[in-house]
Amino acid sequence: MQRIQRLTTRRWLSNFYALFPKTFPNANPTFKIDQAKLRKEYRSLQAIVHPDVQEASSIDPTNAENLTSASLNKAYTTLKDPLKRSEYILKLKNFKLSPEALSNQSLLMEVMETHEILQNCDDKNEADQINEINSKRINQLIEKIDIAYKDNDFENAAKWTTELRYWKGIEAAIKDWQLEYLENQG
Amino acid sequence: MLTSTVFKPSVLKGPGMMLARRAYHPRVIEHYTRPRNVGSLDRHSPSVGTGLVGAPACGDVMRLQIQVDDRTGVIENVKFKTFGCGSAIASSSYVTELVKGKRLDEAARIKNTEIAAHLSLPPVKLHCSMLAEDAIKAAIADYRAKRAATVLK
Repeated sequence: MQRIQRLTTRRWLSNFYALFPKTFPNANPTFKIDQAKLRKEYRSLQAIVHPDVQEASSIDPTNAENLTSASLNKAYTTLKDPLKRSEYILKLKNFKLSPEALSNQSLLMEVMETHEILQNCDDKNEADQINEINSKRINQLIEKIDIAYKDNDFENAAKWTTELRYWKGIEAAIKDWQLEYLENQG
Repeated sequence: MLTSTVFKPSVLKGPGMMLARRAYHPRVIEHYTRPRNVGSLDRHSPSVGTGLVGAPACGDVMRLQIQVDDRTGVIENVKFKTFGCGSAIASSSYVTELVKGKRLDEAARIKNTEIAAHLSLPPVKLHCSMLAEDAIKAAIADYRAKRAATVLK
């Protein structure tokens, strides 16, 4: 019990990275991460703090520094996902994108057009094709973001992250399309 | 070609999915299920202004087009298309109702607070109403730029 107490109160929540000291010893907000290591550490921590494991009496809800299952979960969901992770890093750095970059017309046109094509699409092969192109585009963007962070180029990291957000929206729309297609098949 | 006024239910999902489970105000639901003025106008027409805006925080995109009477400066027709959450669709649908029949200078004065108040948008959804304000402003600016270009010719 002593051990759990120590573990749950010791860590001051400077940022989400600090919650996983084995994976991020310096708690440095990095974009490149070791997914497997993070997952492993998350699971082992969750095994200790999960409400099913931890006695209710040992949790002090008044202590904001307490490591709870929920905060651990939030940190993990943020860090494991490239888009959320990048948005989180930019937030920590307090980096804001310029209004010009935010209203990139050619990007918005392309996104709008893709949404419209998908909305009017009733062919599974065509949807699969849109999906394939989009997945490739997303992977390329993640690579670009990675390079930008390596170069400490926050302007471009933010720019590609914004783009990634729109294409993730297309990804969600494709998933909905596929679900609807399956429902209509069944 | 005017597209169908029936939105696929998928537009309620996506980035706004988590919030979609919250109770929407009846006016939002009303606009969402029966959106006004959905579709598109010829963006190459000199009397049509197009505003295309996006919300980088959630990935929503909104296109709003106005057709203006060149002599009177009155917005005769308006069409929109939004891919996003229910609040974004309702905000753009409502703004088309607001601007139709208005003069450009009146339409340019519409504030997002007016849209948000009408739809009772919660604070986390205020950006949807800002997006609608940005869209009408962008459409007006586009029309005026086109007009200036033709007058100069």
